[in-house]
Amino acid sequence: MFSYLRDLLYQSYVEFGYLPLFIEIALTFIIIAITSTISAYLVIITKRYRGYVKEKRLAHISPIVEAMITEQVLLNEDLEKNVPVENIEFDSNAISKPMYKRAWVRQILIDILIQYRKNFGGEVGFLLRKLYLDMNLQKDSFAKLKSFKWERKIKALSELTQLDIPISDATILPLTNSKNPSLRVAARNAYIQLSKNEPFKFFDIATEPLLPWDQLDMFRIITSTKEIAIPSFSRWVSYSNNKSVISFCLKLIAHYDQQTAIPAVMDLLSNRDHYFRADAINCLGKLSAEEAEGRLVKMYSNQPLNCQIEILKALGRIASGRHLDFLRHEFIYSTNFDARMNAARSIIKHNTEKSRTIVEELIKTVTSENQLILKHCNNPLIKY
Amino acid sequence: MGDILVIEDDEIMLKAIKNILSKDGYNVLIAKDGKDAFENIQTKTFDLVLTDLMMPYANGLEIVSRIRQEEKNNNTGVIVVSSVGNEDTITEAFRLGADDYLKKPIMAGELLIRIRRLLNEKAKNAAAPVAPPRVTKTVTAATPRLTKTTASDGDTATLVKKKRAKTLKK
Amino acid sequence: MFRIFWEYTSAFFEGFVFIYGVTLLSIYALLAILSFINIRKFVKKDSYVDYKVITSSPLAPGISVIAPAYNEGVTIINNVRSLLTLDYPNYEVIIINDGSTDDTLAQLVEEFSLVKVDFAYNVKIVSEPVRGVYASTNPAYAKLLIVDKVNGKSKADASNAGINAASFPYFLCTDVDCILHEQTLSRLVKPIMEEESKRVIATGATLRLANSCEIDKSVITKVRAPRQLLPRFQEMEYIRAFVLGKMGWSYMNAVPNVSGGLGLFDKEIVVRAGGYDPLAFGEDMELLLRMCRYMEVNKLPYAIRYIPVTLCWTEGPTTLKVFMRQTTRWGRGLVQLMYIHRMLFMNPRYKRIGLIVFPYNFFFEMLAPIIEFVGIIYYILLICFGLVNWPYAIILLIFVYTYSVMITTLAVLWDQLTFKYYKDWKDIIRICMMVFVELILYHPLIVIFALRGYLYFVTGRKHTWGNMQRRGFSQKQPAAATS
Repeated sequence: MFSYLRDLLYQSYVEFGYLPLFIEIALTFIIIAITSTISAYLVIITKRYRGYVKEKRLAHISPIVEAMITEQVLLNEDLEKNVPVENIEFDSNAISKPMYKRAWVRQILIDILIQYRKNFGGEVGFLLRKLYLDMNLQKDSFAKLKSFKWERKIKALSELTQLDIPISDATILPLTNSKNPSLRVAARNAYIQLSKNEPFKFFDIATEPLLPWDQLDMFRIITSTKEIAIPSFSRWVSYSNNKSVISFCLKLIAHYDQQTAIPAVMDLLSNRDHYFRADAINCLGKLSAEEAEGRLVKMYSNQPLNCQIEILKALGRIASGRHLDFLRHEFIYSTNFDARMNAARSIIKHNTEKSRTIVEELIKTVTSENQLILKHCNNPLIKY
Repeated sequence: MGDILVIEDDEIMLKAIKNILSKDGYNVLIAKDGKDAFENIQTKTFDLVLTDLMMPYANGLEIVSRIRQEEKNNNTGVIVVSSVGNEDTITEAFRLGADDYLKKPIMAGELLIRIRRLLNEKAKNAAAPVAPPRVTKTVTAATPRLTKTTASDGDTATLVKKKRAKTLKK
Repeated sequence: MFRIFWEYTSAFFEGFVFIYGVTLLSIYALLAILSFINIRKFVKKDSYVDYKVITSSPLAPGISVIAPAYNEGVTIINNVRSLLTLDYPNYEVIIINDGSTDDTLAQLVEEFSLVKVDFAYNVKIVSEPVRGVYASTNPAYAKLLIVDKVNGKSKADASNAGINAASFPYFLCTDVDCILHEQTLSRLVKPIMEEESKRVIATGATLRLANSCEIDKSVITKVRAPRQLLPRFQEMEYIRAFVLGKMGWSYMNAVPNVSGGLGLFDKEIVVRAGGYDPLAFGEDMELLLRMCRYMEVNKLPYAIRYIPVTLCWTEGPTTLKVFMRQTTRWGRGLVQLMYIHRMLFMNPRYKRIGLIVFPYNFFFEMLAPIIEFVGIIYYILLICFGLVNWPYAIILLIFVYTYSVMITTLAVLWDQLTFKYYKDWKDIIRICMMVFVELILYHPLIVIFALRGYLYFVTGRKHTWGNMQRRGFSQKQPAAATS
């Protein structure tokens, strides 16, 4: 039997060599295609099966874990009696069941604990964290940190930061220089959140651009982590070489209303990059920097459109009342629709006697298109 | 002690709040999305409604507005619990008639105190409907620089923002 | 004499087809590999992204959702509601009532407490006149804006009106009957915010068919493969085109088209490029090409990115007639595009679009049906002359068949890698069954209808619009009824 097959294969191989080239190619590809198709199906089947098993496990374990957390944490008697969190002891029978020794159960437990912490802060949040530590789950998270796969390291970092577990600088800092960009970003964010030393030293040393998406994450961390000492961000506005760091700091300055940073931001008004200038003008508006108003009005005429619009918006936010005539002039005489729209909005935003009088007068005297602009801006139903 | 409707699409949060409130003695009904919420609001009257903002079928703000539209709900307390925390949304919620706004992550203890206080107020209102007392509540929003004081009398709420000292505006 | 002519022509033709075939198959193989790499990278990165961060962030860029509507009275309220519940902090919904003759506008006005407002409408792109703009008196619907305009006989015209009324720097172009995933905006804006050095002018994601999905008031409760044959073929084709095709092209930054059913665009570039062209049959592709040309001409680095997640479900045609009209229109649009933008062909000045995108679409999308058709005629002639070498012919046929089955199966596999869309394993089997009969049943239809489209373009015949009868998504039925 075996020798017959061997002979057949040999014969086919010999004959194959005599076939024209394109048929040879065709036959080879047919074999490749059939094997790939079959393998693809096998992969689909295995993947779905694995997914199915995972789902079943989750469906089975989740209610048990949630019930345990509810009983031990949410409805904890000691918590109600205002016993300090450090002194609360969990029911050791409930938390040392054999099932909690299995790795996949522990992972589900960590994920669910994090979900609860997203929803509950305060004492309940602390108690959830204590449960995590009492059950030694931090071992699992730290073990993931040592994995070779970068996505597991990132998961570990995310777990540890969300549960507020301190990680030593010696562990995080090497990760901030990792080859993988996502890991670098995650490590940097973890450092800012967990380090007790200088969390913002990354602003000093960052050479690569801070992407807008990463800025979102970092903004959230900085503004929601409680024990961070917020420095004056004007330092980086004046001295950093990294444009994205500066523009991120501008957003932070506006958020934290750092009035002392106004001079540094005003220095940016002479920067050659017009997107940059626009950011700086926007920041000044949000800071209600009255001292910048005069300069903004002065530089208006030689600015590109996007900066002009930012200036008009800023004047509306600052609303000191000294430049209503300028705004009025721009509204009537500017040739650009968006400029007129923003001038009108800014006049209305002043919301003073004088500005209201101006608006009434304008409605009566301007062209119908401009009238429409005024009515549009005045209408509270039109949100944007 | 009272009937509470909890509207929340996050399963974990929903069950957790239900447990906490039930333990405190309230009778809790749950709704997982806008559709369930509307059904419950149409058919029953509650002492308090706790709602999220982002969920399928309906915007939380719409739910608040719908509750306030019905006469029978005049004495129903409405608390918004959401992870969204920008000024505009908070203002809109109060303007539509919400009594309180809590930003996630919430403190369980605080939630219970606020609920208790709100229900007591509503009970007093129900007893003396002629002149509802003017109540001032302080809501600390997420942004550290703003403290909003809300004064609510009846359905309208006006927001008073603390502004920095400004030079004289003409 | 004839014999010599025939020998030369047939040798030329066979050689040409051989090279054409090999190139096409190699491109598919390349796309399969690149899309795999791209998808794996995406899935790994996406596994730990928390989209809630952008949901509650004040730094999220503003997006205008623009959805034209024409005679959508049956489903308009639910559709608009679902658009108002997207998980994103900073967006507005602009519905353009494209001169509907039914009660679409009246329904909207009543449901959302709309009033006509004095709206300063800036005509950045020319469109049919706007009759009025409506906003809601109920703050819960503050995001909603309705633009009522005169019918422009095309979606492009309506979209242009929407762009004119939009206030945010980005807009999402979609059809009002498309059901969007709640995280659509967050997910589509991510590639824009993550690009390091180029400006992303458009992002897109996978589209699927909503036929046979369980839907409850415009929210998908269960994803299912379409029951009927025709939509099922289309679903399979969408999976292949988006998951394998677009993801592969996205890796090379050579995406030819962002679907009009789901696409996030940079408004400034769209306006500068001139907006949608109401006379184009394939207006989405045409606009994208113009945007790319604008960026190339102005020497601005740009990118168009795709994500492999399914974010939009749309109702696909169930009857052959409507399907024929759709495919014919697509074919016609393609030829028209090639003709209008013919200066791009092999033009090194336009870099990627001139050297990769345009030639690929010209040779392997537009010419493909023609070559196949001629090939079949040629084969028939060969059979008539008795010149066919049957074993070889059959081997070649098997080759093409197994190759196409392999590519499509890989596409289904890649799709399953991103997310387990069909809960029921029977749905996967249904799709996979289609893969085996595609070449015999579905593909010939595409070839014929595309050729019909090309013919219409050449003869300049008027295209009858005939809207797809909006049957409304079948409401969720009790378990017993759905078998």
